[in-house]
Parts: sequence; C-alpha cells; structure tokens
Amino acid sequence: MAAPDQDKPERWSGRSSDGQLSYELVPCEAGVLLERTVVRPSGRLIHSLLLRNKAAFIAWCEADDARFTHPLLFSEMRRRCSRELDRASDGVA
Amino acid sequence: VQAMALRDPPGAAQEAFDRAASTLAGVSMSRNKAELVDHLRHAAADLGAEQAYFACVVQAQDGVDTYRFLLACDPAWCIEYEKGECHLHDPWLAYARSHGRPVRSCEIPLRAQDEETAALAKKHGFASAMIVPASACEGPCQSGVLVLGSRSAGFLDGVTFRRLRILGRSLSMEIQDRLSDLLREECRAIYRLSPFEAQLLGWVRDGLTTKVIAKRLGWSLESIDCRFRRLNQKLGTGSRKASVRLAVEYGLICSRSA
Repeated sequence: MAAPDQDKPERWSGRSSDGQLSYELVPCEAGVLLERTVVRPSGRLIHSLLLRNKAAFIAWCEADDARFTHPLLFSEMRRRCSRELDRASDGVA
Repeated sequence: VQAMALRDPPGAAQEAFDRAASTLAGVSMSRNKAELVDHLRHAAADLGAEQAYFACVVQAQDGVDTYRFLLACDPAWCIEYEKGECHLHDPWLAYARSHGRPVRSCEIPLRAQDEETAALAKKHGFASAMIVPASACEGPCQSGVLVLGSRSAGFLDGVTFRRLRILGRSLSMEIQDRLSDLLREECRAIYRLSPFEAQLLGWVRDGLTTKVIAKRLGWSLESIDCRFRRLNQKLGTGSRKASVRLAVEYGLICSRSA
C-alpha cells in the first residue's frame, strides 16, 4: 500500500466538538494562511494571518488560550501547521 | 500628489505615487486571502505604518454578526480582542459603521466601555492610528475598516496624515472589494448553489411562506419542506433563515430583491 504523500502541501480544517472554535490552514507560497474562527453568542470572529516562519507561529500559539480550552484540536493544528512551515522552509512546497 | 510635490524633492512625489499605485494593483490582483494579507502588510509598510489590519462586519439576520480580521500586526492582539469580546465596544469599528471619512484614532471620542479596547490596541502597537472606513451596499463585507498604526505617537502628524488619507482610503476600498470577491468565490466553489436553489432562498428572504412557494411552483408542501431540508444540509445550516443569512453574507444572493 502506498504511503501518504508527506511532501504535498495540505489544506486542513478542524473544529472543536462544541463547534465554538475552528482552524483552517492553507499552505501558500509565502508560508501558511491560518484562519481561526470563534463562535460566541455575541458574534462570530474570524481572523486570518499569514505565518511565514516557525518563530512567528510559536509566538502566536503562546497567545492562544485554546491550547488549554481545546487541547486536542489545538495540538492537531499545531502539528499540521509546523509541518507545513517546515516544508515551506525546506523549499519543498 | 500635488501636496507631496509642494513639499518633497523633485521626483519623490512621483515615486511615492507609483509605489502606491503598484501596491493597490497588487491588492486588486490578489488570487487568494493569503496574497491579500501579504499585500496588506506590504502596503502598510509602504505607507510607513508598522501595524495594520482590515476588519469587516457582516450583520446577520439571525443576530449573530460575523467579524472578519485580516492581520498584518501582532496576532496576539486579535486573540486578546476576541477573549475580551472587544467587538462589542470597539470605537474604531463603531466609527467605521457610521462614517466615511478617515480620521486619526485620537479624534474618535471614547466612551467608558471603549477604553479597554483602545488600551489593548495601544499595548499591541497602535499608539497612533488612522481609521479608514470602507463600506459597500451588499456582499460579504458591507462595513469595513482599515487601521494603519504605529508605536510612535507622532506617526500621523501634519503632512503624513494628509497623504495617508488619500492612499489609505483607496487601499481600504480595494481590500474590501477584493475580500468580498474572494469570499464569494470561495463560497460558490464550496456550496455550488444552483440558480433554482438561489431563487428558493431569495423567496425566503422576501418573506414568502412554504404555502406561497408551493403554490408558485405547483408543488406539495411536503416537497417544498423536503427541498429546503436538502438545501440546509448542503449549506450546513439548521434552518432556512440560517441558509438565507449565509447566502446573503457571501453574496450568493442579494440582501434584498432586485
């Protein structure tokens, strides 16, 4: 059986079981576009940022409380985004 | 440009104009949101701003508005903004919803409940900022604002502000237009709404009941309900109203009948 193609950039999205938090990762030439959506009774907040390197991503992760409130989703997002940024910095993408 | 020519060395005004025009062209030709965010960052730097973001609000029929932010600034700001529910008392967004003129942040009066939001922005690099509203009649970004900021309190003094007003306004409108287009394209590609489905949602938007729609199409009430259930499923919503809201938000149908 063929192994999954690890070198192919992958778009990914994930949502928390309560539906209140979701992430979308879109690999692109400059790095990874990260979209974070939070649904609250007072509004749906979506922010989009372009991550160009791992240092910026780590700094952003440290600000996001979702690592405590939604640890499974957050760690999956962190793993996938790190992989895409590594791939981009290796020049594979 | 004339104002620049009065104060700058020969050729500098033309150079600044050319750079701004090139930046704006880049925004309008962005192929996706990543490129748009990247162009926003470049444009902000060209205009001398250290921080920038574009925010837009889509008022929803079900009362849950959507607030979108394209960030070319410290992203930790937006996390704290969300945690504090600052969208409920954001003086810059509120200004943009009811005004068209670009202003300095210091010109917007702060109510007591706005002070926390303003302090948060200041903490994350917006000690001085220019607030540039952008509005559209319909589409996913009906009310938008470009914020260009700096850690330096004197960033927008005198001539700089007059220059930035002109270029900032163009940039804000271009970002809003392009973002609306990209969101529509994205939504169309995901949902693939047929003309008939768009028509059905348009009728619900206009307040037509199941009974009236059934009569118009010569269908049974059950067939109409079934069709809407499938449509809601396709759009990932739980009701007709939510489907209409999504379709209006992303410009799949107009917010009002033609």
